[in-house]
Amino acid sequence: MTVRQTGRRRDPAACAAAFPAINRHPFRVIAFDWDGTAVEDRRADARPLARVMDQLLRLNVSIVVITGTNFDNIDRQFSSLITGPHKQNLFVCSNRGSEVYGFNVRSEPVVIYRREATEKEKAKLDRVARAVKQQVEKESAVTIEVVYDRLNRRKIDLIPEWPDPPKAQIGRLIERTERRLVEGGFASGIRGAFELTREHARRLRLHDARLTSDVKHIEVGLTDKTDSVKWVVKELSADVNVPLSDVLFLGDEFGPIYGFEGSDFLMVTPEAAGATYVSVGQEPNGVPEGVLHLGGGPRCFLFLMQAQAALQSLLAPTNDPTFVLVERGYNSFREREIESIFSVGNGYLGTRGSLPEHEDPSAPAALVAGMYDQARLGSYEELTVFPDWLFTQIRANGSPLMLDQGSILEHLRLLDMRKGLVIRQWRHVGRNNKVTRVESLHFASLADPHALPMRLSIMPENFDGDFEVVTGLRLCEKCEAPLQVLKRAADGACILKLQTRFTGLRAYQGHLSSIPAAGSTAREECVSKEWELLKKWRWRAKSGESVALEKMSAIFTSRDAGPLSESRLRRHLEQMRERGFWDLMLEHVAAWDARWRDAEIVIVGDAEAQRWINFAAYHLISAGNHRDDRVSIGARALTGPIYKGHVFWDSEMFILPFFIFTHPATARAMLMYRYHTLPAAREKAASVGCRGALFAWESAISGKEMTPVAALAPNGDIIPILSGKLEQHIDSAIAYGVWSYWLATGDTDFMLEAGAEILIETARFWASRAERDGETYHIRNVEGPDEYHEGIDDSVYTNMMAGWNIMRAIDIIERLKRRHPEELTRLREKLGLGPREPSAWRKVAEGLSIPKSRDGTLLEQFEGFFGLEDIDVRLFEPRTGALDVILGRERTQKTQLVKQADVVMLLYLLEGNFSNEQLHANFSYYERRTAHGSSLSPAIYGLVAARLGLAQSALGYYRMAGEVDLANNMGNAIGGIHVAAMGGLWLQTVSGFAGLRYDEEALFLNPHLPNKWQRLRFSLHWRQTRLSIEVLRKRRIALRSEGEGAFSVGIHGSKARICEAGRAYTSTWDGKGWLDFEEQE
Amino acid sequence: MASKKPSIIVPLDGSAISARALGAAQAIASMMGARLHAVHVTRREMPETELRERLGLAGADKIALHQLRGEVVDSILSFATEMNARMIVMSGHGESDNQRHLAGSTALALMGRADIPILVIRSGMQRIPTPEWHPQRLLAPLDGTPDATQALDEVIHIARDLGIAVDILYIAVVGKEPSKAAGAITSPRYLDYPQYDWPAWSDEFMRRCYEPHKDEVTMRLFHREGEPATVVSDFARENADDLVALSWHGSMQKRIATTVKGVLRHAQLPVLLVRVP
Repeated sequence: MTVRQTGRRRDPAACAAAFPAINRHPFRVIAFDWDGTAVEDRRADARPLARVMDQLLRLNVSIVVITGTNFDNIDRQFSSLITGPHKQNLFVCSNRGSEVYGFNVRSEPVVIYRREATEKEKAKLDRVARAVKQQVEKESAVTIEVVYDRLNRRKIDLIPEWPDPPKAQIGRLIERTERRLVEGGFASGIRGAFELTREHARRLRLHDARLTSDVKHIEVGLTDKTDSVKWVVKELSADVNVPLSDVLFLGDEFGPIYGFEGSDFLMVTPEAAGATYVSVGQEPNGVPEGVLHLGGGPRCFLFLMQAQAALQSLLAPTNDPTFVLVERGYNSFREREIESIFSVGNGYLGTRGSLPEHEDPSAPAALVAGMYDQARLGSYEELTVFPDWLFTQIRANGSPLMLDQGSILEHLRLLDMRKGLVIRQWRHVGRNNKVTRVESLHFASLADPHALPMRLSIMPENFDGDFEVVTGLRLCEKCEAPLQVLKRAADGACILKLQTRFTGLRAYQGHLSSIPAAGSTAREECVSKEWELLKKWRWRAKSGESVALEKMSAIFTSRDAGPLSESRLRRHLEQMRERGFWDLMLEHVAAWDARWRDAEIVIVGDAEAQRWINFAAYHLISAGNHRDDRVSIGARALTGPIYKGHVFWDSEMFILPFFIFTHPATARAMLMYRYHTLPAAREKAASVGCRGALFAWESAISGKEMTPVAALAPNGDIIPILSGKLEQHIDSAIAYGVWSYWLATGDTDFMLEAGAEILIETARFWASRAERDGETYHIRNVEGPDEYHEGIDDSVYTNMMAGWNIMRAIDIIERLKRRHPEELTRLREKLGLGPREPSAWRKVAEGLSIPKSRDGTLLEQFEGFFGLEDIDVRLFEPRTGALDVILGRERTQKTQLVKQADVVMLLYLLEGNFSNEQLHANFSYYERRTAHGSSLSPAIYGLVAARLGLAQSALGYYRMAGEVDLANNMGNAIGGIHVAAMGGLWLQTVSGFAGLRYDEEALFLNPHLPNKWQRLRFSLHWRQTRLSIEVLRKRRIALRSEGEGAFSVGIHGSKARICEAGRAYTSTWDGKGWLDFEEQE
Repeated sequence: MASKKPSIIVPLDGSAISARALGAAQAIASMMGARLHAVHVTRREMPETELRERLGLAGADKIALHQLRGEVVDSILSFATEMNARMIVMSGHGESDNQRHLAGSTALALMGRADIPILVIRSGMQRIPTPEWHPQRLLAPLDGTPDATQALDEVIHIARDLGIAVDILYIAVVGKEPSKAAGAITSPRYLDYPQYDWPAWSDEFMRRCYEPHKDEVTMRLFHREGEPATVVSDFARENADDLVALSWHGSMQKRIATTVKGVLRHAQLPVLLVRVP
């Protein structure tokens, strides 16, 4: 049956629109007719096509030209334009099914297959053609010609006087040929000539003769395009393990022409059932069922191939080594580090990159932001570990495929940071040298925060075997606060109803797996055990047969917006399955692409640094959650449970700036989390006899203090943990975050809704916390960022930041008074804020003790610090542990050893308070005394060093920060990545090397790039604009902007100028410094 | 059928110094249920009774005596291979007893070439183990490298066979570069928040060292700081450890195996040397 369709000369975009799979489904074999399909004719310029085919071949797509003509014609016009090892993926099935050409590694053509006719067959072909010619010419006045010199076929030319009729003139060709025959006396016309050929072939016992006609010719031969298709299906697809659902055939003549089957209809064979067929031809008589008619000719064909190449590029791993982490082999000692580094996440949830089969060293964990529980009633809240949705075990002929059983021919894991994917390739050698290839791919969708797709393909390489795959959810047996299972459902989807034990939170988690390839004989059943809810799949596979399983998992919790129900999860899983893995992945990749557009930093000249910053941005993006303003980002994000998901000062001081400037919505959500914890912060302030709010040093659901009181070290020491009580500088860190966000975004709504209240309540705390001593105020018994010294008085960091915090609260009150008096009235009433309170605060801020050296140059970290034993950390290098551990706690406290940037943190945060001489002197003094015992420290030292023009020293710190998790010889990352150190790396890049500063009026830059950095490019959100900034080391700063309105930009230390969004500005280096920005012509 | 008893070898050169290993060898063999083989390499074969007398083995019928001929170290190692020996127990010095040297030339050569564990009894130890010696605890310092962690397997198996407990000791060191080996884990470089970083580090230790052997021995984990050889000696004394197990690569060249050398030089405890795989 043929189907008439309306497709004619289509616009190329319309072609693709009528064939959505070309933008959704990655075909792995693309086979097509040449003349009329890929090119208009033999003289057409095939270079545009060769370019796109080159791209597809590089992406490992097999390309097959199926043509009636000989190889030389195709090579001359097309295949000779392509060279390189990827050309081994190109094939030419020429001479109407008689030959197959491939290409070797040197791009030289090689014959893969050729049908050689016997002398007897050749003679028969000659005789058939001759007999037809003789009979036609005998019965009529018509003269016809025979082309004998064709491989395995003969061409009977019914209209020799028209040597090369274009396909576009098919109607005219029919009419003229038919008239020529009939008027010449051969009354039965073209059809009669065809039947006559068939009759002679039968009479001469030419068995299985293949007859075709393109109207001008009747061809009789031993092979046709059916043979080409059989080769594609049986040899090529099987060889490269491609299911037929991934094979695409394209032609232009599937439908009948003048009563003859179209020449491309020969490609539609039972062997290729399941493949996709598309016609770009005119098809005046419609196309057979199962063929999609697009029309549009070679233009449409080219467009389809371009669309497919774009799709395949999206789905292939990123082709930039700085965006890819590859782990080859298997080192059980590194496994926990790799799991952390290879985590995937979308802010809503995160999952460690554990091996799905759960090898002995595996420590899998799926964590959902905000889902805290307690190990025991009343104990500290900690993130509960969700069942591992990656869990999958494979058996080949009854033997489990495990890395420590049998041997490994190849094992590779790849984290694609640009696309947020983890890919695994594994060739396992089992008993009797049976090799099984396993490939998997998974991600946590950035587009749909609940969706967790995984794709697994399994292929026996050298044996036929029975395969069993169990895949599903496995609960964490060893976790301290495991979820309780309330219900199990296994009706299609496997679903667990879960509940925390003490915090009253509920969740549904489920999975739905399928084997989408047609013709699969796999059988499935559900398996439920105490700690698992699994689906078991079984099938038999032949050697070389690849079976792909798609597993869709999802999580919903009672913290989500909207009602929590099993049916909601079930619907979601069904929708995921309907869309399929590739479609979900495309959406996910597009979401990552959008985030990278704002977050990408390009460093030219230092590939190692580029990889560090890519890694940092990858994990920062994975951690951010703009959808939920009741969660923030914990110290190890969602990549490991060891920090229990607690939120520290790290969030505002180190992580928040990245989001303020690349994704303000996430920054806002993080600050709103703090706002929602104000009630607990007020309680904590009251508990220490103060007013206002004192935020928890470690915060979880409600903001109550979650810091434990002690830790046990393996040397037997009980370490008192005083930070929950003494590290009150968290208040000013949060205030600093609020202020920075507001400066950068101008988000007045936020300031009115939450920001002002945070500033006022923290200022109030400091004002009540300070102790008056005449005109001076002291803040006693605290701990600064340097946690080696506890219970100190007048921490210079704490005091200066407290003073700053108070002044910003006063600023905002003044601002509200001027611009939003009604809001101020509301706040006064809500907070009981008296009219004279701010002036009392001001006295405190101005009177806070700032310990300094006698000459006033050096800040004294706290009262009495300079009296402690001096120490030079350089004398303790190299070393194999933290310096405070080596010296011991008691001795450390008696020295000037500093754990991390403390005074130097001030040089960054309150830079404007210090002279250049003070900046240099303090940096130099504290650098020699800082042990960098915290992962937060190196980036801040690097930032300040870069601002001071010490670019090479800054680069050393950049390396330290970059290697916090990526060095493979320290075991740092075992319990999760250090997301605040990642934030610090971003800060060092932008605020350090690029020299970013900002205030209420303007944004300033002052780049100091290391020698090897030729160029630095990054983007920033600033108010209503998006800025793209490119720094050419000691040459030029180029600034472009998108968005609306005016903004001010300057070089730090000079006046800013007003710029218009949409225009470009540059600053040039004059040999000593950067000149003011000028508009670019 | 009862499984074949393991073999312990004690080389004796006829000197009183070398015989100082005999008590420890007998004790170890007894605790392991092993057969003890005394070997003596000689150019001239002697009647067994006379040789037993000379080696201090008179009346020790449970100790098999073997007279070997040929180059001393080769002969001992060949015999150990032939017997599939579990361990060599030997004195650090022999006849020459030159205490200025770390060990005698034969002992050093055996240490360098043997691929089975060697228990070295320093001849200068104040309390030489007797056959009644019954060690309770073995101290195993660990530097966190994958090699040393793998060598720990053998140490733990020996402890298991002896039925004794193992104390693992990590040492943070000044003056030493951290290992560059992938998968090494030093004492934590960053302790952002010790309340979480120490448990995480301990948990990693459990996974690497304890869990593969959880039913085999009792194990304790310690962390100390300082010069490794000194820390090992001090720690062993303070914690009443009975022997020290050190993993090493078999080379005594300059600037290599400083801990092994430091411990051997002053050891007041038997030192078990285990080659990394």
